[in-house]
Amino acid sequence: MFDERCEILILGATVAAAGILAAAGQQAVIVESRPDAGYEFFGAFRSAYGKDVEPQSEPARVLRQKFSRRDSLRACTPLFYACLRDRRVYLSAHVLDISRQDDGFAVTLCDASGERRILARRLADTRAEEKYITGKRLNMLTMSGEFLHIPLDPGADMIAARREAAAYLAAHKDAEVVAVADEFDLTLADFRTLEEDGILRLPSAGFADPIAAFDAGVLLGEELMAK
Amino acid sequence: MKLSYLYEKNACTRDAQDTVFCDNYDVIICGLGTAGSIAAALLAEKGYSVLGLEAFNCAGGISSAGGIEIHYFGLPGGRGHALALEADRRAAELPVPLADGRRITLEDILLERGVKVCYGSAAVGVYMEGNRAVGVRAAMPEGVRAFGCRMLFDCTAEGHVARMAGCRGHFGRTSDGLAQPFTSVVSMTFGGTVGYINLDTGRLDPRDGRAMSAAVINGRATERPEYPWMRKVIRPMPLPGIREGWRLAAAEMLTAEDFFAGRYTAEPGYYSYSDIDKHGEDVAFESELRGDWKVGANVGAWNFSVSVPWKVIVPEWVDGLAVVCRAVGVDREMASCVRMLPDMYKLAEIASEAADIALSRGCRLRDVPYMELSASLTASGCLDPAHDKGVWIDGKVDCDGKPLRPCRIQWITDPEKLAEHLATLCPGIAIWSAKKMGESCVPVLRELLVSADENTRKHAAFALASAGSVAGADILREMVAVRDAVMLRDCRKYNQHRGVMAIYHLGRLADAESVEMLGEILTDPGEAEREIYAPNERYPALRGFNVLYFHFMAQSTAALIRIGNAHESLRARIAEIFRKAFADGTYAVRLTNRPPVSVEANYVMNLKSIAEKAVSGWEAGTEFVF
Repeated sequence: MFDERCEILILGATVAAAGILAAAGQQAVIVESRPDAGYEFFGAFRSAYGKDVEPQSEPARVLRQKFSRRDSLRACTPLFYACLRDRRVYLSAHVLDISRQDDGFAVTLCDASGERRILARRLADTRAEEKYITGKRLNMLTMSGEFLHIPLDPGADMIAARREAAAYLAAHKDAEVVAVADEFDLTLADFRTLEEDGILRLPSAGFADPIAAFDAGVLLGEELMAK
Repeated sequence: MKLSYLYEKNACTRDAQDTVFCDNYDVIICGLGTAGSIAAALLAEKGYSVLGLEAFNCAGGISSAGGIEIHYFGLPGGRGHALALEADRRAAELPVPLADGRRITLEDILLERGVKVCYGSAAVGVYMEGNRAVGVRAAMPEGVRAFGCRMLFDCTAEGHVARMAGCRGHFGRTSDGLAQPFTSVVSMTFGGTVGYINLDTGRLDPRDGRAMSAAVINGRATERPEYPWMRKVIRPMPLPGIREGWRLAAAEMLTAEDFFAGRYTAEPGYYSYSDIDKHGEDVAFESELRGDWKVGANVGAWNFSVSVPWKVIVPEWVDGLAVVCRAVGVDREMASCVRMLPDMYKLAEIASEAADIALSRGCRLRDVPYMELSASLTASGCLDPAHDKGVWIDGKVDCDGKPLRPCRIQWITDPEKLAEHLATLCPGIAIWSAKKMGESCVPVLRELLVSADENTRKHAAFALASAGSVAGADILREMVAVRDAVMLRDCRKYNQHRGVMAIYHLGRLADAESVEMLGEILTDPGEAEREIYAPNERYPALRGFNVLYFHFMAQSTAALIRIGNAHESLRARIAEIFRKAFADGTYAVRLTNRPPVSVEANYVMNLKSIAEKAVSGWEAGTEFVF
């Protein structure tokens, strides 16, 4: 009936998800519809990378130490992806259905291989739900290394964001932008771990710093694995 | 009605009689990438209702989110190309890199024409009435939805939709099933501008979701301390640079065998212009046609124009579906000729024109009258007979880095005229011409084997081997024995060393006398210490991979397999050589210190796998097929 089983299925290949993975190892599966991971920090061109964070967990302390040797968050990209290596992380995978079972959740996903069904005892969602978003902006990186921030309506989609970006760029021809972020820089109203309908919610984008998000993920993962 | 979908790589169907489409469109485009965005805009321009489903969050695919701003080849012309230029013209007005600007301007072009754009949305199934596609099941941010359509375009690059619909296709090379290496593209600053670098990171099968994810993660996790400029990286581009994927079994196929035999389609859609793909260092295990062209004649970086049948987009039996992406109906030798950006623009135009005719007439795509289609394509400049330009040495710089003056190649038909080219370090034209002439040029070439000129003598041996003659085998063996280090100069890049070419030809001739000599290359631990393998400008040791030594090893392995295929009595001895060469893994240490997930380590470990496959095949009574 099921193609795979796991203790925790995590929605979203976020930095917090990588933290849960650090605690749960092969007991966890990450499912992500995007082709990349850590987008809420790396893809959004956020700038913090652990300098003002005192992690509680050992894996987060180790990661923070590694990050501290780099000069920017984007230079930490390989370090983050190394956390996902040789784990059950499925990118470009779309969730088709989630249904409650006596012993957990049946999740049907679809990726390049097609459909498959996973039975998960617990479900954790690390994505940012629309209802929690209070602030949204699109960041751009300039040749001098500065970040430009385009404020957006919290309900704006990527099409609306690009219209705003185009208007800004048309009015600032000397902006020397070297890259427009692939993802929104979000502010969330409440990012504490919640449990709704049996699903744990730990929206990674709600943390100000990726090390804090990773640390929260590790702590949640450790707690779940201890149960 | 049934729903056709993939389950763990296999096409399956289930009943879908109760499905109610939440909306209906004339055309649904799955994938708003390079081809899909242009096709969507062209169809909407004609007044059709178009739904564009895009898995990522922008239009343009590899040309925007993949960081491929230009492709080195392909020819301009046509409405699709004009539309892409319009997007680029608008993007150039914005103070952002072209790849970023395209996300904005392509999207503008789609929205201005009324295309319904849905990001974060991917087809997960195809609704079929008999063998006709009539709709799509899509995973979208708001949930799973069903849409109906009169025509479905698979612009997913990998042919995901066609595979869901049950279309047949092909993947990988015959020898080991592998595809070209993929790249992790990164953007970076170069002295005040933004550029993109391809970092070959491994091999993957884009039909395998788990393997895809692992490959992307490994690629991004790989630190590259050997490249100091990596400190200037802005970001990894979100989409991996996949050069080769699944290819459709189409109503008409474009194959290298037909092309080189001079069999051209009667119904061209456009003329492509490119070289045969040169990525990947283990060309030794490619098809013999590619080997003869790239190694045997050393003309792998020469360009040629190819008349591409318009029906490469039409599946052989599924109706209502066009495949408009890299996954069109070509063999893998021709695949690089149809995957450049201009090719995508033209395939998009062909598909949109054909769909327009089919929808207007109420006929099947495959039944679209060619005269009507070609008239439209010719009028727009998509199909231009002037693009049938033959074989060229083309590019910006030659193998010395100096400006290259493009020149057209005319094959030699008079055997007496071969000698003047064989005397130079650019004998490729004569070697391939000899292959085309066959036996008729052998007497002339035999006389050249005793020439006082070293180049003439050695290159005549190559030409003879290409023509199928063993007359120059002694000279080929001499070249291998001294590890002839001379690099020929036919191509602007990726020229071959004569020693490597000699090994290749000895293998193609199934030369039994060279077994021990080739075995020595594989088994002698001191082989790696030869001066020829020392790092040089072409083959720096920086990447921790001894490329030239690998070429000698790989070609020797392939040659021994060919000899074993032809001489049953030598198989036991060759198997013994392979065991000695590969059993303990020390050969790998001599070749590379790159990490196990690197493409270089993949090349090296694959030597052993291929040798073992050949030997086990012989034991089962079958020959190894390249």
